[in-house]
Amino acid sequence: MSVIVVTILFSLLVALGFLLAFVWAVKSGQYDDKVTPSYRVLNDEKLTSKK
Amino acid sequence: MNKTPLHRSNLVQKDIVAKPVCKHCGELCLDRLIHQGVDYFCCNGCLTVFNLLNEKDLGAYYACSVPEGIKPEGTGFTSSFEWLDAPGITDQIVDFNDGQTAVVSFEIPAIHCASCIWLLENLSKLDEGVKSTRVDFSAKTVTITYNPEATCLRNLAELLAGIGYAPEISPKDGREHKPQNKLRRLYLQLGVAGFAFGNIMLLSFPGYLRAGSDHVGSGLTLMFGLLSLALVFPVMLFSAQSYFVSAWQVLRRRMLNIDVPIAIGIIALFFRSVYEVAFLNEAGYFDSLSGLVFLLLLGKMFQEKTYSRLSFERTYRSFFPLTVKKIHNSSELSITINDLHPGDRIVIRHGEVIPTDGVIMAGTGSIDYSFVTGESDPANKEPGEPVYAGGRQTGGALEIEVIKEASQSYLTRLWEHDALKHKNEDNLHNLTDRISRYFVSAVLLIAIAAFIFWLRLDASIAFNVLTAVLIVACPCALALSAPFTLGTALRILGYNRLYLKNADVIEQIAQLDQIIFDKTGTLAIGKSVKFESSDRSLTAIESGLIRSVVRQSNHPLSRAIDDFLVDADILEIDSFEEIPGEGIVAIHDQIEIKVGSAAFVRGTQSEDLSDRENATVFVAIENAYRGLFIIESNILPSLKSILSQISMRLKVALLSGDRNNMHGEWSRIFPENSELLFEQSPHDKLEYIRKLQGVEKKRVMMVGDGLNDAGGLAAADVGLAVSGDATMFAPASDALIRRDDLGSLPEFMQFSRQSLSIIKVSFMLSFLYNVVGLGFAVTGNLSPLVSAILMPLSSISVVTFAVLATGVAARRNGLRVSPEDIL
Repeated sequence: MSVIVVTILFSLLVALGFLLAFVWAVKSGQYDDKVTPSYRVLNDEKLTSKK
Repeated sequence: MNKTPLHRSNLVQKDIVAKPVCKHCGELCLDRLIHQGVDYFCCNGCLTVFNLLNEKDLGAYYACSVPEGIKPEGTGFTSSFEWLDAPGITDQIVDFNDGQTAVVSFEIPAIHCASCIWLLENLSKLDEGVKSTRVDFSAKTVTITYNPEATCLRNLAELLAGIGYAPEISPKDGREHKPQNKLRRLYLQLGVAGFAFGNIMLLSFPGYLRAGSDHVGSGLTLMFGLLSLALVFPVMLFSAQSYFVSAWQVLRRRMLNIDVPIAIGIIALFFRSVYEVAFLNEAGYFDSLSGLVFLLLLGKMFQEKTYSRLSFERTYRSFFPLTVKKIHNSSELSITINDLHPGDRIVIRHGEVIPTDGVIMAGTGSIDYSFVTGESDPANKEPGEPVYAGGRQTGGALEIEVIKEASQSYLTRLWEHDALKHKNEDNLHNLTDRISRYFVSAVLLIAIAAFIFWLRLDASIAFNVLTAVLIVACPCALALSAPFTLGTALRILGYNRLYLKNADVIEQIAQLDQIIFDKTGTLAIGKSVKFESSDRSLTAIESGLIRSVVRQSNHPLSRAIDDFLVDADILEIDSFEEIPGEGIVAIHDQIEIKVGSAAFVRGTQSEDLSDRENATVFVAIENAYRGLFIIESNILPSLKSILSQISMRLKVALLSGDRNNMHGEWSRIFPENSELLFEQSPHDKLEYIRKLQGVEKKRVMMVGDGLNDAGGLAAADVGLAVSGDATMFAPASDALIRRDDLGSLPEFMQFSRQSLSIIKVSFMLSFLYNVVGLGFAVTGNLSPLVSAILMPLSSISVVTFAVLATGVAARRNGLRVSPEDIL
């Protein structure tokens, strides 16, 4: 039963990894503009369809 | 983007068949029709953009079925970016420059759709110096990375303007990078709190399921407790930081704000949980604590977003459209100050405000800077000397060369901070302040009382109750109702072309007792002019003299005479003096010309010449009386109905400087018990207002011409300056309106009154929220988690209600709620 200590600690480590990924995403400016990327994705399609 | 009535999407089938539609901008080609291949274009601008895009392989822009192109402005735009070539300007505007790569951000209000983003991000195809472009749609900005050796700011600006996306560049306004960082920090704090919250919840599960009763279990309880404690540390030290810091700063100054109870609640919960885990071998409340902080931060983020969306920053459209006379090919053109560019020449007449910094080219300036500095001694300026924005000319007309772009926000700021208004002690500001101050102390007292009460009954609930009470109480809605409602109302009134100095004016309007109208130039406008003389009609030279003198003035009668003498030559005036209520005296080449009232020009009272509504202006040249101008006026149509509507709540009065020519007519138009006084000098009008305010303690609104009634407008509680076709800026006024819009005055006043009612209602709503919330908290029925949700919810809902209700009230009164609204 005491193995639960190991499993919990390990899962916390994984969760920490995700937290660090989130921190990196915020710091690199990915959350600054949430509106334009949604338009940008659609625009590329327009260009290729014409070609 | 404004879909104009002519845009393709607004047309029905038969319209499209009848007239061709421009391939680029989608509007009907009414004035001109340009044919190219199978396509039609409405103007050269659209055709140019179309060809340019196709040439550079960007024809996919037109793959959409509905044209989204923007018609580029008429000729003349290319010259207006010359100033970007000036040395040193580049450094002021770009964000980054290392010689080979430079980054600049432009605000482009014309961005409105997905095609705009596509086109702008392909800017490199239109100018090889551009390396990459990035659009921020909600901020309507574009960030261009370019090679300063291959292209320059001026090229970029002209290119953008050429395809219909003219940039707005104002080096004066500072760069705003701070809001960005603040929001990022909030996200990080939220992330950490969420991470801790989720994991601690999982660790708390066994505790809830009572799995710790046996020996093995109780060891695990301790371990889980310690793990939770470890996870809570980053929450306490980082995520909750803003509350602690704010509370500490405020307490140091012996004051209280809403973060104080929250900080206390968090700390109390923390220490209680540590105590329980360490000594009582209980699970503690770390799950509640981290959940609390997480939800508080979430609420804060939603609040920020809602507030910024509902925010009442004056957008450039809700500014009064200040116009100025620009000299274009030796004639005068009325343009808005936003279209002014360095190098333009403008004409500023007696009483007008200088819109932006410039240099005097012709004329003698006698500039009154009281608006800017408070100094009322006019400064004399000769040609060649500089003049600054906000100064008022007193004297003849000036020709000024503009050296700086006009900043509407600068002038509006001067107007808003104009300190001449008396402070009304009962106004909403003070009420809100007082409530906020007592609120927090009351909450703290209730919290302590409830805590002590529960401590004796059931200790475990006591801490929950303490925290719940401290968290659920929120004065935010109380503090924000007034600013949000008034701000929204201010913006709505701007869209309907009533421009107020600041939000307090709305309050003043709602509390008026009496309204006073000026006659000439406000309710009666000069129409036809006749010259009568006992000797002979005017010679060409005399007409020229009179016209030149009268051109220097902005009085409505002067302008009427100027129009009448339109063929006369304009001569140079050596000296000029305008005396309000009396007339003008000027000298040309040692000839003295006097224009004005009979008393002023002749020294006698005039006879009653006619029984129709008109104004009489007498003229003397070289001290010899020459004759008089009779100016027939039109009374504002629908005046009677406007006045009858207003008089339902307010007393109405008319104060006029003219003689009593048409008493019968006027008393028919004005309602029953209104006062009609004639031959009032500016001083008489002031006395009348002062008497009403002083002895009878009435709140008075004065409606008049901004330049000639300045004294009355300043003295009244609300001064409404009325202007004709061009919008004159009157510093002494509290509100600006065009004569054509006077018909909506009753609706504007009704709307102001309703706005105040809305504020009262939202005050009550917020109060109700708090009472109910506290009721539940004090009786132990509210968990800290739920209270953390309720707190931001209450402020968001009350504020949103206030803003929406204001919009509804506007609609009910027949007002526009957005610039593109069609009524």
